[in-house]
Amino acid sequence: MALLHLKYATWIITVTGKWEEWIQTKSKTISKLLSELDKKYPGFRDIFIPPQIGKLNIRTMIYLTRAGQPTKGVIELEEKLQDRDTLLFY
Amino acid sequence: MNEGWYGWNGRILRVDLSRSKVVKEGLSKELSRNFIGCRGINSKILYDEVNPQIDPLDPDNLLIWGTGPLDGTPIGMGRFSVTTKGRRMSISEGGLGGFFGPELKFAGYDYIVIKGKASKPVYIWIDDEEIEIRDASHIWGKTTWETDKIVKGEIGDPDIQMCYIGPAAENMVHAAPLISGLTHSGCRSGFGEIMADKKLKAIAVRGSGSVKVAQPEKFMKLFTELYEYFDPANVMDPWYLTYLTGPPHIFIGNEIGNIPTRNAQQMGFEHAKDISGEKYFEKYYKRRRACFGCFLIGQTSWYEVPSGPYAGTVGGGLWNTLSWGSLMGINNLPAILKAVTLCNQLGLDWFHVCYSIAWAMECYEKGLISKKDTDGLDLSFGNYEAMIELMRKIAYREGFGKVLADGVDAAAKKVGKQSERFALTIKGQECEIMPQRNLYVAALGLATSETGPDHTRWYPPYAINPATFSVGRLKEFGWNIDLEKAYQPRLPEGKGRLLKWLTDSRAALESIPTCLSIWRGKYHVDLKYWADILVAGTGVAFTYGKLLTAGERIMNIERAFNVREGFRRKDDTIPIRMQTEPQPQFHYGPLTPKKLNYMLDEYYREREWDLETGIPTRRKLQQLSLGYVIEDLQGMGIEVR
Repeated sequence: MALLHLKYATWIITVTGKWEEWIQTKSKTISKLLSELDKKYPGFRDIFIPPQIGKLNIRTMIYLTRAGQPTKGVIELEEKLQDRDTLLFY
Repeated sequence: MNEGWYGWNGRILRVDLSRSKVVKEGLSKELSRNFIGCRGINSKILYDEVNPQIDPLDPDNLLIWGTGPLDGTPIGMGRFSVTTKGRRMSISEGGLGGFFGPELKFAGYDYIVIKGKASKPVYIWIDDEEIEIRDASHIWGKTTWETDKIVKGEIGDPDIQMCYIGPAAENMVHAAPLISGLTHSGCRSGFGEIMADKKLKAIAVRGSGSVKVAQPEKFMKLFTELYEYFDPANVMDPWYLTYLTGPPHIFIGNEIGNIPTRNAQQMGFEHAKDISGEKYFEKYYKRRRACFGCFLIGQTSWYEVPSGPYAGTVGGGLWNTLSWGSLMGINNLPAILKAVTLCNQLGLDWFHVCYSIAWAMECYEKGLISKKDTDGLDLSFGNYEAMIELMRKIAYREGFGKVLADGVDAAAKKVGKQSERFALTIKGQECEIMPQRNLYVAALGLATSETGPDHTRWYPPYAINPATFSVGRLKEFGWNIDLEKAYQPRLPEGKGRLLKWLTDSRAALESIPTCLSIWRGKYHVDLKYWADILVAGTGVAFTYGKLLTAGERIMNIERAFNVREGFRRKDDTIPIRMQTEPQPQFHYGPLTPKKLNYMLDEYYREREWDLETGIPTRRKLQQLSLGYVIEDLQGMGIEVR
């Protein structure tokens, strides 16, 4: 189980109804986390990975911040998650 | 309107303020083909007609207002450009939105070129063919908003369009810009100072004509396609959508270490939410605003503070809320909105004022200055009341305001004590809010901008996320960029080539003109489209290649202007703080001189500029049909290799 700090910005807040939350998750990758969040917030995964494209949507962004490292924009959906990672979705 | 012209009117209005003389002359077709319009032609006129190394306050210095061939059509979106030789000797250029540019086109002119100095304050009234130089003694000293009201009242037409300066420019405050339509500000490298020196308070214009396009049906078809292509639900730039809501991405920027805080000592602000766009819309947003022809009514908005000490404050324009807040450690959004309004009314440059006050606050924090120096003001970071009071003092050169009124560099020289180490300027002009240590292409863009730090010359400052776009599609657009390298924000490699493409293409787009801010959603990669619509508008056979070459020509003529004034590679740099101080909170280091030099080398190589001096090479100048520049520079004893 990993503890993740999730943050939501701009119009994503209208989907989640909140700016941020901490979650305990078994999801090992960004892709799996998006599926998990989709169950909580229906349509969430499709915002970031539209089914007809099957890859990250060009109009959205996911930033990953890991302890001791600078923040980076997510390029690889199979990027592994670690305990205490922070993710910013917008 | 002159026969044989489409898009352009083909006319320049020349005004000699010393002789109170007005002349209307034709625009050269060669000039319009090679430099397109707006910023491009302004730069060429300035290069040709302002002798090297004259004092910027010499009567022979020029003030140039320029529109472009598609101004007055919805494509132009109200953009126009103003250019002069600034007081720091460099070319001083900036673009504005609103309605003034189209109105000038409707009056029948593409350019206004002003020289000389009036013996007393004047304003120019352009009513189609009738031009008057009118006494402005009664509005000298008035704020821009008061000027707008008085002149419209005496002309008796609330729909005329105006540009003006405020008290700050009249008091020769550093970097004072031109203001138009109450809240549009442009040329933050001091166009207002030169206007004030010439005793020109304002220009008012009313036009009853229209813009004639070469192929009306094709133009409308392309325009419709563009409108559909624009579709904000399918933009290429994820930052873009955050802009639709007002103050730019403060909350997001804060999460990734992009928010200069307390004079950029830190890059994250603990009160970011308090000054965020989300908070703004919750409490202060009143209504949307737009420039002429804008698709996206609401790129900026009108605000009102409903209660508290700043109740009744109204205004527009929010790009700067970032710098007002975090840079001075201020989390009081009503005070920030008051400061934005004051800037527009007094005609102050946002970045000059906020970087000056932030620098003074750091001096105060470090004990380099005290209340004895600041007229009793407590300049602790976060003191918004002191900020408001100091703004007024700067505009009117009162007390400690006089120290800051000449800019951060001059203030640091006066205070000394190594305070220049945190004076955040480039080429003598205060930085913008771009995170130089966290976004290297932004740092390179700021360092190399001829007119001082100016984001519009290369915006947006990052490449498309390679995870979201196919390289094949980029090739279709003729976008020869190594996306994998260019996208990495703190990797020096790949930034020179990206910046060259960004600056050349934006020079061309700003000369058409169109609004870079609106179209940034599509990243402006498809210049082929812009060539097509320019052909339909003007009847001139522009191609993608010709358009990009025109952009490159503009970049080189501006460079040549600065080379004549003595600017070299050493001036293409960033503040010492950015080169030496890391950001441990966000785990990134300084942008070291070694990295900066690597990027400069790559950029100069892409541009074919001399690596040692930054002067364009003989080969490049000849290739761009700028052979006369070689003769000019050599005539001044400057070696062109």
